[in-house]
Amino acid sequence: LIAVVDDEEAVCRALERLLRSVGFDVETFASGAAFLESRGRWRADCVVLDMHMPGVSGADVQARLAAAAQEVPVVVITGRDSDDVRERAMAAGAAAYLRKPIDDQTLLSALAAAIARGRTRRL
Amino acid sequence: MRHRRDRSPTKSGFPWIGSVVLCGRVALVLALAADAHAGKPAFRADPEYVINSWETDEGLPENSATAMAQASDGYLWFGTFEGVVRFDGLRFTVFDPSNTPALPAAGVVNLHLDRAGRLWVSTLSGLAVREGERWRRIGVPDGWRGEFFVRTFAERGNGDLLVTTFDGRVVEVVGERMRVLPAPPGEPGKGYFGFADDAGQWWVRQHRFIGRWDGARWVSGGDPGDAGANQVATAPARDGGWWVLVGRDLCKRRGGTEVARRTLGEVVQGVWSMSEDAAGNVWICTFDRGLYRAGADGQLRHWTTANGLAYDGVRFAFEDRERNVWVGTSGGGLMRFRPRAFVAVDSASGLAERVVNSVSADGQGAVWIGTYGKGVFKLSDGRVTPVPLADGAGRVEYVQSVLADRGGRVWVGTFNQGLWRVEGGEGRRVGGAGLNGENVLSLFEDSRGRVWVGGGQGLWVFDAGEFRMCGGDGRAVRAVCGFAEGAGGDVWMANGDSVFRFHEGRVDAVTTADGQPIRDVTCLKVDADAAVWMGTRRSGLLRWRDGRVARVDAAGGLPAEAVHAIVEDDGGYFWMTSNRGVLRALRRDLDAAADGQRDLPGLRCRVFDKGDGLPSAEGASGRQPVASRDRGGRLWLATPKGVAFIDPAGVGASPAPPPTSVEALIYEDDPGRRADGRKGHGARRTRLLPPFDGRVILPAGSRNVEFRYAGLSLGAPERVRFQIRIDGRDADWQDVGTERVAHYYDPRPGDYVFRVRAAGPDGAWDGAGARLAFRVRPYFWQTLWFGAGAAGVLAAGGAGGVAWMVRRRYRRLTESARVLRESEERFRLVFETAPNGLVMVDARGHMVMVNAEIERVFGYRREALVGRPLGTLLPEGRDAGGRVGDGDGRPSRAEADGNGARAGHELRGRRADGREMPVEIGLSPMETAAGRFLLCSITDVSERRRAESQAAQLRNELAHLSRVTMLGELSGSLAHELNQPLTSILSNAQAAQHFLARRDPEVGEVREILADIVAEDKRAGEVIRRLRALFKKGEVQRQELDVNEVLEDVLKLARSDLINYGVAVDVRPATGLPPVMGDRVQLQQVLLNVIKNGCDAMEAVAPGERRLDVTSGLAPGGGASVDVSIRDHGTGVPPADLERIFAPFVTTKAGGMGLGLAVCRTIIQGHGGRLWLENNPGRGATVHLVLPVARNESRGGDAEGELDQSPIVAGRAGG
Repeated sequence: LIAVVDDEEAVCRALERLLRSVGFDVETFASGAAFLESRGRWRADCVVLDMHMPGVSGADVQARLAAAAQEVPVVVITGRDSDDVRERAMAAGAAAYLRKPIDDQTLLSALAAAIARGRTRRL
Repeated sequence: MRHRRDRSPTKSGFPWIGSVVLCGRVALVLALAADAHAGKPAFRADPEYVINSWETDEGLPENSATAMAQASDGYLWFGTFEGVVRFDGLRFTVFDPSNTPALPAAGVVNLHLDRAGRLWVSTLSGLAVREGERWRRIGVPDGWRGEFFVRTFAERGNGDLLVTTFDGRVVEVVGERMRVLPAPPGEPGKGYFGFADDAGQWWVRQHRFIGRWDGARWVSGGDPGDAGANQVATAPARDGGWWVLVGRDLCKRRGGTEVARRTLGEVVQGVWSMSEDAAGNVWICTFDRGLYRAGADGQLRHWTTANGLAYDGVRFAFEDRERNVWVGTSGGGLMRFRPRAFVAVDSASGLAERVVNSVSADGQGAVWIGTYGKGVFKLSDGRVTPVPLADGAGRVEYVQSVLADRGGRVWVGTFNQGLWRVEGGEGRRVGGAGLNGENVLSLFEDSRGRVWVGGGQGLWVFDAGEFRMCGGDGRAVRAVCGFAEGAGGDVWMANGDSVFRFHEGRVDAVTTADGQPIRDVTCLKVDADAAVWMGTRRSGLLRWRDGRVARVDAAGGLPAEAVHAIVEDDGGYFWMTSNRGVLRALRRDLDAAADGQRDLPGLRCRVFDKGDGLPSAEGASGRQPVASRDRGGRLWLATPKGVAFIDPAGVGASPAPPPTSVEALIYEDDPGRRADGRKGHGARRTRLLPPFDGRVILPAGSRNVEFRYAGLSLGAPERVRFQIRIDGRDADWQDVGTERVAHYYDPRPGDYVFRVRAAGPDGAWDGAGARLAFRVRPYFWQTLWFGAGAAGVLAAGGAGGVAWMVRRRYRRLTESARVLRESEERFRLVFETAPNGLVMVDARGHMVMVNAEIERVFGYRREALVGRPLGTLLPEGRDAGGRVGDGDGRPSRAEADGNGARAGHELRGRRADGREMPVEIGLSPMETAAGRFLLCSITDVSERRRAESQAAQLRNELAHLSRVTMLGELSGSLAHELNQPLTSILSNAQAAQHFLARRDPEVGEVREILADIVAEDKRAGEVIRRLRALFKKGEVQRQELDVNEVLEDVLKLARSDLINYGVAVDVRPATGLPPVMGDRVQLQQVLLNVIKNGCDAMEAVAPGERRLDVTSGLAPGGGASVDVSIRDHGTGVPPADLERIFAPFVTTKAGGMGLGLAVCRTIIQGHGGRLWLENNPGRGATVHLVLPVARNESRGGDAEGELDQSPIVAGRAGG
């Protein structure tokens, strides 16, 4: 299962469709808080996480996951690329850092790699 | 003297001064607008008449017109229910009991002008009669009970009248004595038509009785017929006898026998009155069924509100001496049916396209019409039918030229579809490959039967069954738009760049004597003397003769700039289509003008325009043929609004100039003013009315003498132009245009003659005109004998008492006169040398004095200004909407720059050369012995405006620069705003690809995806639009803005940044806010800046507490401004810096340049608003942005109110 967290409903829907079209199960969340409070958080094999959200931001989500010692792989996506955002995301353990708009092959290979890494870690 | 003297109706003599001072611009503008004449009737389409109407909006006192007569001096008189009205075609002068006590009531039922020129008026309360200028009350017959409403007046040779009433009674009026006759034996209570026979016997007719009065009783005159009560009427016939309508039978009876009969197509119901016009048409007016015309040709025409009548209740149809038929209605005012000189063929006749480029009459009586849009139409036997022109390659719709040649072929030149020919009702392309795709502008058949084809790419000739291209000096002659054939078979042609001649197989350019090409020529005409006349686009008419070119243009009296076509009729007249109507002038007059003969009273050139029935004043141009004569001699013209034709033979010579008359002389004096010059009781305005016997004597000290005059043209009064001359003041005639008032402000004692004459319809000044001699008396100390006498007494050295008294008196007089003179001199000096323009305006808004600065600034000589309305200098005043702007409701440039006129004292001035400039005016009323005046100071503020506009430009540059700086700061946010939809689009599209690659793709899914893609793409576009709008560098566009909308836009732009800053925004917009006037981009810029500053101020605050409260609402204090406040919860600003941070280059931020807030404040000040910052009581600071509310709505309301109060607008100034 892939969790997609983005405050933009249209982006969520598009990513969900894209991932379903290649056979993933997908659950979408409209905010960081919604994701953290959901049960999906614990079932996800990978999280596609937008950095730039009002309220609980992507960085906040990463921090909370880390605090809970939940080692779900995170693929960070952002529409506002900057050096320090990237550094902070990678430092917080992101499996990939992708700039919007995201090409499907880039996303899928990043996901594949992240999921593989997650499995490895869990093993 | 027998002059009637009465006080001016308005006591102050200055009816609008109060409102000017109080209401500034609006009132002034309206007062100036009021100078315009009353009637501005609307055109209605009718094939035979140009129909105009006048209602209360146009100055009619009330919207019914009950009866009409035309006095021997040409004025029309008609009755309304608010008085008797005298009408000169433009102005309504109302007589009612308030100004004419002899009138028993204001409501007028009927009128009659008797042979002696007396006007009989039947009012709601009895009769009155006007003889000369005097009114007398006749009242009702002794012992009369009930209403005395006159249905008909009849008159016999000795001047006795027979009056019939609506309730069936009959009264004989002998002298002014009334005798009630016994009621005739018809149906009781129903009115009779009365008339007199040649023997002077009275007759009455009703549906139940016709008979005569034998002096003692009514004697039946035969069978009254079996028509109903309101199906009967009588009217005098023009050639003697009477028209009698009974049911559908209309017959003319003379001496007891029937001499003519017309059987109407229907029974006319509800007949009110009947009359005959000079063409023999009988007009029948009905109570509620409109107007009928039983034509001399037997045709019955019927007008109702459905086809141009203003109201279906018609009281009279009256033909004036200019053959206009005036129609009075019971509720739709007065109408004029003016016979059309031109008859239009347009959509109403079946011509499906308005724009006609070409027209050509053939030898069989048909007329071929080439339209730009719907191809060719053929008009024959009154029917318009389309001519199909199509082949495999397409249909012809855009026609440039059409020519019916003598051989019965019709040629059609098209726009880029080559040349076509119609034969046997079928059209086909001709000319082969060379002409394919050609734009054929002109077609011409010469005397040898050759057809010349002027194409955009070249010149062709069809000769002996073949097309041949012609060139000049080996080069193609392109875009020929006019041809003519000259002596010896030469063909002349013109294309605007040059004129050419085809001579002995060669085409050569024709040049002027000094070898220059003849430019600008678009049409040609060779006259019988072999002179070639050339119509130009801009400079009138040229005549080429024997190598010399002469010009007839505006300076030579030609009333148009462009001449599009020239056709000559059998009467020696040139008919020319132009940019100002159709012109008609005798060729010999044009020759004389071209030869420079100056002894003419100006070129006689008659102008026909829409008032004569032309669908458009501008004729078709740049093509040929645009005018064509048919075999009956009628002239057909192509115009952008249809085709029109005229029978030149029916027009005849131009009528004489309209008769002029002096309607009033008005002067001011101060009867209490002592001869020694001391101030008296105040100025008095006195109005003298005709008849003026001999010389009019004005008392000493008379000033501001005003002459009102009229030129009686009832058909086209608005076109009548005048010249005036005051012998004793003017050396020559002065052109005053259509102005009908002249002034002599400060006449010295002496004898004068005021003269006025009108130009005829052909522009010639040869009428006799009217004159009025007057003398201004001197004060006795101004007389020669007094001076001489007094000097004589003194010189005699007599020391006696008489001499002493005279001396003392004289000294006192001369002393007073000297003081007065000095004071006047000082005033003149100050006035004259004032650094700004000064104009003194009288109560009517006419200039009585101007100073040197006015002459300098406006470029007029002062003689040209004195006596003219102030609107000459400030033409904007005629904008009756009362708004100062550039005409389409946008604010003027000055307002847009934020330096708009204060309190409405800025207008545009127009110089003598027509250029306009911004002026600022100041007004101050002056009370003088000679009356009340308005002193206007007029300052040319072009320089100031230029400087302000430069400053505004710099400000805008700076604002733009600041926005560009902001772009850098915003770029992250914007990238995000764009990346969101792009992400959605890309991912959706790729998802769709994956879905479609499956074996069983889900169409529903893909459909949803596509819908999302479309929506997201639009969103991206929206982002880009906002972005472009914000950063483009353009004109400042001041418009009405909803502040909340601007806020919403700005918050969308800043959304990403706000998220980035972790700032929550709480927006509380007030609903129902009035719009503000402003530039959207600049306001966005300010708000963005302020929001960003607020975010910056909260950097040190914990993320959860970063909040901006944005509110909008009316600013306290009367609702004249809107306040937007942005409250942050940051650290606040040290009190010392609250103002300082608005200064340039002052910043509290590390990376800031310190320009943001400075620019913001400049922008807001440029909007007439304020921007400031204050610390909150708790924490943080609030930025307030206050903008004035857009003012337009309230202005419109004021203007209407003023209009109602303006006394001059009501059009009852005369009387």
